Amino acid sequence: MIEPVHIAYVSGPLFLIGLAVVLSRRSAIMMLMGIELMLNAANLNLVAFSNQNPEVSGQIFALFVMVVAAAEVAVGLAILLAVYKGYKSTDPEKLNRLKG
Amino acid sequence: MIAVMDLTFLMLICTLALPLISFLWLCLPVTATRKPYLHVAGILNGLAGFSSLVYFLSSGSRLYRYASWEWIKVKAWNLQFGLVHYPETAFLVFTVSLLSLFVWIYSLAYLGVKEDRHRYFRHLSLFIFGMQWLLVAPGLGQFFMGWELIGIASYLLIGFYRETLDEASAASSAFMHNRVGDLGLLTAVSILLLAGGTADFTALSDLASEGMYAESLLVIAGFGFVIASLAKSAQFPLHAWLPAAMAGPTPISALIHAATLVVSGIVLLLRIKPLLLPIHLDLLYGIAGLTALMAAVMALFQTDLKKLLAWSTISQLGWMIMALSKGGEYASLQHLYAHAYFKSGLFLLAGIFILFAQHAELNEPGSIRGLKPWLLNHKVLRWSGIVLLCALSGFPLTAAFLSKEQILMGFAASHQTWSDPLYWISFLVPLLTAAYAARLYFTVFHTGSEELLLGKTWKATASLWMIPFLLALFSLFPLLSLNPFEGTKNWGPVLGFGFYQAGNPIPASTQWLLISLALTLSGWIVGFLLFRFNLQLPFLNRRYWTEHLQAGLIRPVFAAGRGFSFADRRILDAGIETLSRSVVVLAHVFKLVDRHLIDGGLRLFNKALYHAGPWGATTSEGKLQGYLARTALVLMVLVGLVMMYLD
Amino acid sequence: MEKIVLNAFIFLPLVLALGLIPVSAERKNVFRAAVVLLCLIQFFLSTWLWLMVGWSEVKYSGGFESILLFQTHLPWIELSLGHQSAIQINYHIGADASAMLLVWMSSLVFFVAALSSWKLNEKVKSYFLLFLVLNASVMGCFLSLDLFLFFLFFEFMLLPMYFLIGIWGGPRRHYASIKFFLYTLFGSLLVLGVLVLLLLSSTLAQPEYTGGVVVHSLDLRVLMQKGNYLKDAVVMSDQVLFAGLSVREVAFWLLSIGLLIKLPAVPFHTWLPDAHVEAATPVSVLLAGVLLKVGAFGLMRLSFGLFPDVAMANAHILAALGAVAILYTAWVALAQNDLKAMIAYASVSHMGFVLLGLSTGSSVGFSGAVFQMLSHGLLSAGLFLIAGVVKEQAGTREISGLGGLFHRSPGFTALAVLLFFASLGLPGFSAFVAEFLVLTGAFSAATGPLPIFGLWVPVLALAGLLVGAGYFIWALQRLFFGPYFNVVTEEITRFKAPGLQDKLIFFPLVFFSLLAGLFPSLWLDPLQAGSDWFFALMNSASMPSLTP
Repeated sequence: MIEPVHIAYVSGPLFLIGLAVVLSRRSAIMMLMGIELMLNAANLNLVAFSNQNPEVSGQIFALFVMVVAAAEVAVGLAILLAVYKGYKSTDPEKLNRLKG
Repeated sequence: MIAVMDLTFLMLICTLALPLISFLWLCLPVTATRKPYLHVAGILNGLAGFSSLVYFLSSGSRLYRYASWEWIKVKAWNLQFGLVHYPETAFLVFTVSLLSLFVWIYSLAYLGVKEDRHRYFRHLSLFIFGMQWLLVAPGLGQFFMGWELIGIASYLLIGFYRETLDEASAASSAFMHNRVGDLGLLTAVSILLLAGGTADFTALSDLASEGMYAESLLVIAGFGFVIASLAKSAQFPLHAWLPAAMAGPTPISALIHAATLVVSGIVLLLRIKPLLLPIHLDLLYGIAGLTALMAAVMALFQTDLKKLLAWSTISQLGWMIMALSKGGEYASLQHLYAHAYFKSGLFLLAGIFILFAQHAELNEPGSIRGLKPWLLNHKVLRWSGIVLLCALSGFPLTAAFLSKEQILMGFAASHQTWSDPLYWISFLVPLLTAAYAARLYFTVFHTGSEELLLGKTWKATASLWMIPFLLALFSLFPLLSLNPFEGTKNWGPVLGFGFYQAGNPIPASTQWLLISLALTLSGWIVGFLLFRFNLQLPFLNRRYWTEHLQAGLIRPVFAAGRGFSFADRRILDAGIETLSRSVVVLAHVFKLVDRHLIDGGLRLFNKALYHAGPWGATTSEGKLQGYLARTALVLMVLVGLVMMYLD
Repeated sequence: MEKIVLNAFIFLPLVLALGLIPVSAERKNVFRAAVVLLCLIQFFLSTWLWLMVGWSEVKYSGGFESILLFQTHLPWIELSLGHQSAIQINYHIGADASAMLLVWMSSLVFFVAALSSWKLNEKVKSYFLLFLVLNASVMGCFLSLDLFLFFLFFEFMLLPMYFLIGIWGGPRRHYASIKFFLYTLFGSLLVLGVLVLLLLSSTLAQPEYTGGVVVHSLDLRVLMQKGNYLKDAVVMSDQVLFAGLSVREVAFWLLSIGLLIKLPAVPFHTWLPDAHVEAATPVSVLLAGVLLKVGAFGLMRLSFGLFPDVAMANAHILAALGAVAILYTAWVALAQNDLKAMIAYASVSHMGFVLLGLSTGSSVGFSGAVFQMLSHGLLSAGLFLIAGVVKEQAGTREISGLGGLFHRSPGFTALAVLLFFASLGLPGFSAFVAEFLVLTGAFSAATGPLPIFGLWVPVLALAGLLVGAGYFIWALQRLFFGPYFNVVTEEITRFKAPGLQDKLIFFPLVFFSLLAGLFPSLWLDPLQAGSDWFFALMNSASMPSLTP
């Protein structure tokens, strides 16, 4: 029998890998990919645990997340393009004009 | 408590009050060159002299207390002021007045017209008052006051000239020597007052005879009295002031240092005799005896006339005290009176010689010698001098002869033996006295170079030569007795009462008459021989003794004073200052602690905070991944905590 | 009426000071005249008070209360301390004969000092305002019967004195004034400590009668009675604190040292020569004539009055201090070249007589001590005035730098001779009476069946009298005799003789000293009650066979 917790053993590390990517990558696009990973890991979790009970809200939520992820990637990429036009770089370290 | 006002009392009051009024009168700030101003004071003193005579003649031979009132009173003790008639010293009251009057007249001529001579007469009046105040004192309180007053008057008078420091130091020396005596007297008064509650003379002798006083107290008090009388009467070791006091005016030497102040020591002994224990009397006898001998020897070799007379006074006083200590009050008193007259006469005569020497500008030391040529023109002076010197030697027909005889008989009757050296001294002194008298005569009256004195024709005025003349008359036997060879009757049969009767007069005997005469004559021979062979002992003439005594005593005192002053300023005060400086040092230490430790800690903290700021600012560097990392961290921690809490 | 007068002594100067504040500092004569007038009024008032009391009716009858007169008692501070205890401080003033005598003497010395201050020319307004504050404080010290009030005035004296010395003084005045201030302040702190101790140990009424409420007080009347101390009062305990001394003894010594600094007693006297030498003449007059007496008065009332048993047990130490002070400072005076320093040390020497007199525990000694306070106040004021004249006219106070002053001014010389002889104890002046009484008291305490101290104590005092005569005579000789010379200036005309008005200042001092010397009973009879009280106090505290 596949317990949801087994799925959590997968989605957890996946989330953490995504987090690590977000935190350490020097490219904003890679950061976005990391965000995608995190989102997908969360999706996995949601679906897995919604399997437990007859409630279907987990799966619905996973659908929402997918939509939001798509939207967010689109917007993110758009922002990145604009930023790249202005800063000539997508390195988050360099984008610190909002400091303080 | 004032008794009925009778003539005697009135006269006594006048004798005291008139000099006091004269003193106060002369204190007024009026210039002295106004003769009438000065002569008012003189007249007052003259009246005082007259009243003293009337007082003396009318007073009677019984001790009588005319008045007394309180002075210092605390609880069980009191000191009183008062006016008491003491028969034995009533004649002294008269003598003081008379001699003061003589000296006053003499001084007017002696001082000439000095600008501030009223100062002299003012202090003289103070002295007269002080001496009389002492003589009528009912008890030791007033006695002490008079004692001090005459000390101060003496100080002021010795230092009258104030031109050189010599007189000043002589005056100071006199006062300080007397002060030592004063303290002895003060001790005695305190102790007696404590023990018996009174300082009254009659009460003291009553209590003493009743045995009221503890032995130890009497011993201490007696020593106090002994010291006091030794100081005042210039006996060893407190004798140095008298020769030094000769720096003052000669009339003062005559009055104070021959006749009155110096006898106040003897008066003290007379008044408190019942309180003295045998140990004190023996001490007095010994000291006075040694002093008498030493002084007589000094007089024998003096070249300065006044110093000679000063040493002679010391010697005679010593002899009087010797007599007193062996129970011869009568004899001692007689000699006191005789000595007062002839010694003051001699001093005043010396004063005339000094004036002559000044006028004649004789500049050699000891220039008052060899005045024979000049004296040939001054018969009165010559005759006065001879009589006075005979009196000094104790030649028959003088009063001193009578008193000398009494004293010698007193010594003989006092059960002494020839093995006692002091007994020899008591006979040696009159011999030596006659010796220096003779030597003085020959040196001054019997020698002289014509050329030195050629043309010096200064003559003494009447008010100058009259006085020694009168005093020479007073030195003859009628002073003491109508019978030139019998001193005990004195004026009793004539006046109806026996005055200066104290103690026991001893009837004269031919044996003692001859012994006395022999002593005089042999003394004269010795004196003549010394003169003839011109034996000198120069070292006795210099001021060795007095100077060394003073240096030995006084310089260490001053050195100690400087030492104490140094200790006080540098050591004691420095100790306090070190304490306060250490407080300041501590303050600096605390300042360091405060600045570096306490404040330093604060500043360290401040620095840490200062640097923590930028470190904290790194949280908002603008780096996205940094923000994200922190957010993730915090969230994970929170979730973990929540889960733990839920458990 | 008399009560009002007594209060006036303290408040009149203060009111006058307040009134003078708005006056412009330019009008110097206003200040001078006002202060002289005030001091004169004070003198007349104190004389009137002294004369109009029927002193023969004031007799000691068993308590301190019985010798007090004209008391004013007003509640002042009441503070609750919680835990059923409270402090009650009253404005309580009054006087017994000795306090009246000292007030009288102080008023005279203040008058003389005010006259002598007339010639001062700089900062006149401040000077006289400080003078008035000093006046009020001193009077307050003598008249207060509540120790809090006493301490208040005691401290209040220090401030004007500090400024008076420090501003109008000589070249080393800053050093001298700071030294004076700190030294005496240190003493005051010791006194304060003991006062706090006394405050906490005292109670107006025993707690069992007041329902457990303890009211502390520093009123002298209260403190003088044994029944007004708490049962377990610290100050009464015999518990050994340190060095074998009980708390009570330590308290006594601390208190006494604080007051002995003011007396001044050897070895706490070293502030005095500096303060005197540097201060201006009228300030020296006040310092010597009045302030030292406050210390002696405090010693009498506080140390001896509140701790009689300890005082008597240690009387030999105090007497020894006194005798040593007399001789030692006289000796030091002998070596001084500065006339004022010599007189300053002479002052210390004379105050030693006061200490000696008090420590004999006899009524004679007490009378002598108080009389010496009177006499010394008058005579030392005169001596300092003389030193002031010398400095002013000759330009120097160095005895070795002057000589033959007699030639310039015989009148001044006569005055100096008079004062010097009076100070060294010529009978007929007050100093002799005082010294004689003290000596008699000392001999009585040194002889007899149960002596308090050995015979060497009065002998030392006598030796001190001898040395005392020495330095006065020596100074007289060097200053006034011989040929005239003055190292400061070569001119023969320097040293203008003081005029009549300068000499008139001396008149009241000499007159009263003479009066006191010839008729001492005018002052001694009123003191009888006080000396009875003192003797009874000392006697009951120690062995009963002291002779009165």
